[in-house]
Amino acid sequence: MLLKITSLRVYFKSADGFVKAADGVDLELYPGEILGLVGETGSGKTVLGLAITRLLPKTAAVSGEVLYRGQNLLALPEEEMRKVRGRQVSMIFQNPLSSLNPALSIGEQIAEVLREHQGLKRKAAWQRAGELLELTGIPAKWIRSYPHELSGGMRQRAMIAIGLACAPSLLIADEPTRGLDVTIQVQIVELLHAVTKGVSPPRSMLLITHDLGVAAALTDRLAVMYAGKIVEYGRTAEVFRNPRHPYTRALLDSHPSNGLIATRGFSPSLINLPPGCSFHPRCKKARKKCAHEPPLVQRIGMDHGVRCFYA
Amino acid sequence: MLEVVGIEKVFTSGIFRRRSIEVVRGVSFRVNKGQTLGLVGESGCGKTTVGKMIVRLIEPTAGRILFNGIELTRLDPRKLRKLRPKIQIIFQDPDMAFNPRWKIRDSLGEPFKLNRLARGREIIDRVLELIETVGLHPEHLNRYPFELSGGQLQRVALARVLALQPELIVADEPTSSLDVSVQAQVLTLLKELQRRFQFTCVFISHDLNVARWMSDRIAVMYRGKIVEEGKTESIFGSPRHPYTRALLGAILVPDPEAGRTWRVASLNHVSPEVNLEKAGGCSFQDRCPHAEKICREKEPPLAVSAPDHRVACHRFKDLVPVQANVTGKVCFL
Ligand SMILES: Nc1ncnc2c1ncn2[C@@H]1O[C@H](COP(=O)(O)OP(=O)(O)OP(=O)(O)O)[C@@H](O)[C@H]1O
Ligand SMILES: Nc1ncnc2c1ncn2[C@@H]1O[C@H](COP(=O)(O)OP(=O)(O)OP(=O)(O)O)[C@@H](O)[C@H]1O
Ligand code: SF4
Ligand code: SF4
Ligand SMILES: [Mg+2]
Ligand SMILES: [Mg+2]
Repeated sequence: MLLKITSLRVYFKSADGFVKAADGVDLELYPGEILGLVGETGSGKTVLGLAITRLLPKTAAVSGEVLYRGQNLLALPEEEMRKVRGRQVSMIFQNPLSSLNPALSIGEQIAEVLREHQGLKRKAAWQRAGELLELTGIPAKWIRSYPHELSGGMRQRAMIAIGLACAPSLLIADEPTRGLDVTIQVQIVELLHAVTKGVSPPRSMLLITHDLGVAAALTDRLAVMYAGKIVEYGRTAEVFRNPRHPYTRALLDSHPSNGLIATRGFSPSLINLPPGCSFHPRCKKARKKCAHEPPLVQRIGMDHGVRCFYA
Repeated sequence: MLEVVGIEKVFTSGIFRRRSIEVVRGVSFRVNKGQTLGLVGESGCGKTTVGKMIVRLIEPTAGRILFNGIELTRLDPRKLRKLRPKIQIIFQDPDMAFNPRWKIRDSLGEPFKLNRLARGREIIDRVLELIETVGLHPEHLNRYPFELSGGQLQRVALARVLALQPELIVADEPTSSLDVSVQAQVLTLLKELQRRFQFTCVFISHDLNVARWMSDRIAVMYRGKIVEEGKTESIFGSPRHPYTRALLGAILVPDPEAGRTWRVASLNHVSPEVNLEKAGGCSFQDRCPHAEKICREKEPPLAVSAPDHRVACHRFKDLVPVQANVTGKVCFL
């Protein structure tokens, strides 16, 4: 096992109470595997990624265990963690505009990572930075451009190039295809596949995405998150073919190719979660018990689990 | 009504080695009041630049933009300031729209104050109402932008624009950070408000399914130009331009059963770096499966190919009409 997360809780202190962004997350990732993390906006996907890389703000109270190659990252001194970050585990962030440095050209930003983490010399790093940009479909002549001179999708891809510059054993990619048109999306999917499955030994990836097409194409297993909890996990094909959690079903039914179909109701407040099953106010299958008792994860097949009483 | 006539944009960058790039070249279209034009096309083709020119955040190098008969491109600053609240953009990067040091409450309240739309207690009520229409909770008002998830911030950005009850909205990938279900809620809301308030909308999206749902008309851009434009049904029903066809053939629909090889490939991933300015002719020639001699010699004009449908391709008459199968198409082999 490359990564084993047990009972991870991330609570943010706020004026209104604790925001339970991750509320007892268990997750496993095998070497060479691509695990997809999908789910509702605001359900805690990014927070989970930031918890693994320990990049959460100070207002976050974190508990539980994040075992990476048997080592608990949550207990590591910051200095050690810095070594893990980059060479071992790296993250492609969701918001390129605030993650890129506006004062440096994208070439410099990629080269900097290459020098620091791969020990490349100036010239080699610059060369490689150009190659990485090309891989994401940005012609190398853009290398001297500043973030504000790029289009939204190009900035997004520059972020991917930075993430790949580390060549980590575990890549956490947070919405890497957001806002990209289909042809570029395909190119990025192929690229992500090539840098994980295509190298030997294969590398692992935690792919956070709300694009179900991308998740279907790229992931081996899928975990579905709702209100700070994993509500379903399983092999990707199995989850798509046979979704068992009412939320997963609603999500799959909402694909725009089926028309504009929304799950009724809105996501709950993470400060005042509904009692019992967090999904019960919106669930079509809810019964009395759901409003009182929180469901535990039930295993319903080989590597397929669902957090629902009536799955 | 919004009317865009031959707008162009040339950016110059670099301090020592100055270079200019033509990003938008002669784009014209029209959007009737209360209607939506979907603007689609490859990443970097110039969609955001067009959007920002419409709301006058960047100055076009040439061309005219008219809204309700008023020429925005010629308006003096004072008149423009008065018109500002009526013409709004939802930014592609929602962090652009917010002051990172302001709480969401203040960011949402500000437009009311600034434009004297409400006062005191009323502002608080309006802000509360807004946050709930986009599916968020009062607690989110007490947060700073970085304390919200990507999709939450994107919805606040939308709420902020709706607060002003604009007459024209440029929505630049307004739902790109939302899961499909919340996206459906937000788009339904947007449509409903449009029906009620009759605002005109330019809707930029990479997601063709979404663009189709939202738009009355579609304009397909490629490298700074519109290559095809027409009614939504007409564009999806009988796309004529080879680029549009490639785009429509490449919609991804989740179907992991089908394996994971992609079938998108009528479009070659040629690096878009054939020096086209020098090459002349059609800007799609280096990737087009139908390119011929004439395509390298002459730039195709945007010509009428069917009633209310325009296409910029020399060979559109030779190409057999195809039916784009957007809904339910499986694109994994
Ligand atoms: N610093 C913070 N302080 C308080 N609450 C926070 C903070 N950061 C995130 N949250 C809350 O935690 C929850 C999880 O946020 P997260 O960013 O992980 O969502 P997400 O699943 O990535 O959503 P999206 O798909 O919209 O990006 C959200 O409801 C968010 O409002
Ligand atoms: N300030 C600028 N200086 C120089 N070049 C710029 C500037 N702003 C945009 N560009 C370039 O103009 C082109 C069009 O950018 P634009 O943001 O309009 O693309 P887009 O169609 O919105 O793409 P995306 O879908 O990726 O957001 C890109 O090649 C971009 O690099
Ligand atoms: S436990 Fe009850 S409310 Fe929760 S998902 Fe299952 S049926 Fe629905
Ligand atoms: S003009 Fe020629 S190169 Fe351009 S799209 Fe038409 S057939 Fe292809
Ligand atoms: Mg996120
Ligand atoms: Mg853009």
